[in-house]
Formats: sequence, structure tokens, C-alpha cells
Amino acid sequence: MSFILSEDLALKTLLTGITVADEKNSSRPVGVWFAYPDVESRNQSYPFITIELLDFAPATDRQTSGLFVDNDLQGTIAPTSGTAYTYEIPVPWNLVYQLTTYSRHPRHDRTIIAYLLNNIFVAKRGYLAVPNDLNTETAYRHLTLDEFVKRDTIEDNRRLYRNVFTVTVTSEGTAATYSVTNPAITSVKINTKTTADIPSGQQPV
Amino acid sequence: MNISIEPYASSGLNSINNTLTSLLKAQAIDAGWPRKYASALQVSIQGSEITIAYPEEFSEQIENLEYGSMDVTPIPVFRTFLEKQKAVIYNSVENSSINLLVDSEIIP
Repeated sequence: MSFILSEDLALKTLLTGITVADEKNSSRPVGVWFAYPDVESRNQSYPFITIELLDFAPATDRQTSGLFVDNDLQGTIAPTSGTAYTYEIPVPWNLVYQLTTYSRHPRHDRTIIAYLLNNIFVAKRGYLAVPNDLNTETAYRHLTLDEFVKRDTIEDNRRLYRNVFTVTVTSEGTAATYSVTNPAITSVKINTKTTADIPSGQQPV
Repeated sequence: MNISIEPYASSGLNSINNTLTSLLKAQAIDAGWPRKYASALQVSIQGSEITIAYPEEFSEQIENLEYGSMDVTPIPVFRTFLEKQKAVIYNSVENSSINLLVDSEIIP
């Protein structure tokens, strides 16, 4: 999978498996959804967490350029003549996500907050394991907690505990992907329509 | 010779307060915020701190736009503003810092 899709899936995997306890269920699973679920699903599945991609921007502060040539598996074996893995240095991106938690029960709310702060964003930092398509290698991305906001509200005359976590995931796209997504310009059309509003004595460009 | 760049940088930032406020309002409108709330946004610069202010009476609606509400997805403006406008901010700090160095005759 390409980047963004990989991070989406990795975030969902990271957040899946959280459980909360109450008087009726000692191990109630916390659902994870991309964006807000339909009302039918929602009513049956409190508590839950939603994942939303807010923004993505090139991380120019992390950008390097050039060709990476590896003939010794990054220094782990003796260089082998005629064997080299060559690729253009990837383009770094920052992906900004909003993770929103929803629960009806105050204990669920606190449990989810505690879990996220103690297990996912320890000291506001964490990491995101992103496996490759073949599941043979895993890249670890930085996962930084940028902001936490409490957004409790009332829904259907009942309390709804809501928390918004804004997080940044450091990512990268291959240079090949980048060049494909930005096709080369083959022609530029300038002033294809001449305006009629040209002062006397002047010529259109 | 010891010089402090911070006051000059702060002064440079203050000089683009109105520009940043206009950019913030434009970004909110482009993102789909109702004009009523977008035009109430204001950039506030104190020293080297840049914050976004809005009237208390609109806080519920504005925060619902920013963070989303029950059935409405978030339309982030505050959280993406600095990233989108960092070139304007960097240029301001850079210009005021260079002016200081020239005025101080550190750079001839």
C-alpha cells in the first residue's frame, strides 16, 4: 500500500484492541472507525474512537536529496561487487490526524484517556508500526501528540464524553510516487484570452 | 558585540498581525466555514507567541467547526494555520533580523 493508506491502517491497528470495564461487561471492546459511523452502528458500539486525516504537508525540514546506493546492507555485510540496491531518497511528509474518543460512561472515558496517554503517547510521543505489503519489514514512524482538547457534550439528553487528540505522523513517500503524482508540465498557456480593457497606447502581452 | 534579535523579531511579527489575520479568515472561508464565524477570527501576537482569538459568543460554533461535532466532520483551520503560513512568518522574522544586523553594522 502507498503512504497515507498504510498509516491509516497502522493507526487503526494501533488503536484496535483497547477494552474498558463496567458493571455489565468487564472487557468491553472500544471500536475504531474511520470518520464518524452511522447512527445505527454508533448506538450499539459506545465507546469508540474515530480516525480522521486532517492535513498532510511536505516536511521540508527533513528533506534530503540524492541517490541512495546500498551494496553492504547498510554496513551489515561485506560489500558485494555487482550487487547494489539503488533508490532515490524518499520525500518526507507530515500527516496530521484527529483521533476522537466517544463514550457514555465516565469510567470508560477516563480509561481510554489513560490508555492513550500511558501506552500510545507516552510523554506525548509514540511510534507507529507500518508494515510493508509483504509483511516482511516494518517501518516505525514518529507519532507525536500535538494537542488534547476535552469536548464533552450532551446528545439525546445524555452525557457524551468526547476527547480530541491531534497527532502528527512522520511519513515518507517514494520519490517515484512523488514524480508520478506530479506529472511534468508539457505546455504553458499564458493570456489565451486577450482582455478588452487595455489602456490606449498599450499593447497586450 | 552582543545583540538580541528577539525584540526585532517580535516587532517584525507584530507588523504582519493584520496580514496573518486576513490570511486566517481567508483560509477559514476557503475551508468552508460560514463567513459569520470566519470573519470573527483574529490573530493575536504577544512577543514571539502567535495565538488565535475569537469572541466568546461564537466559541461553541467555532470549536465545533474546528474539532467537529456529532455528525459533522472537523474542518481544521487553527491547527493547520501555522503550517500553511509559515513562509510569511519566517520571512518576517528573517527580514527583521537582517535589518537589525545591517543597522548594527554587523553586515555592511
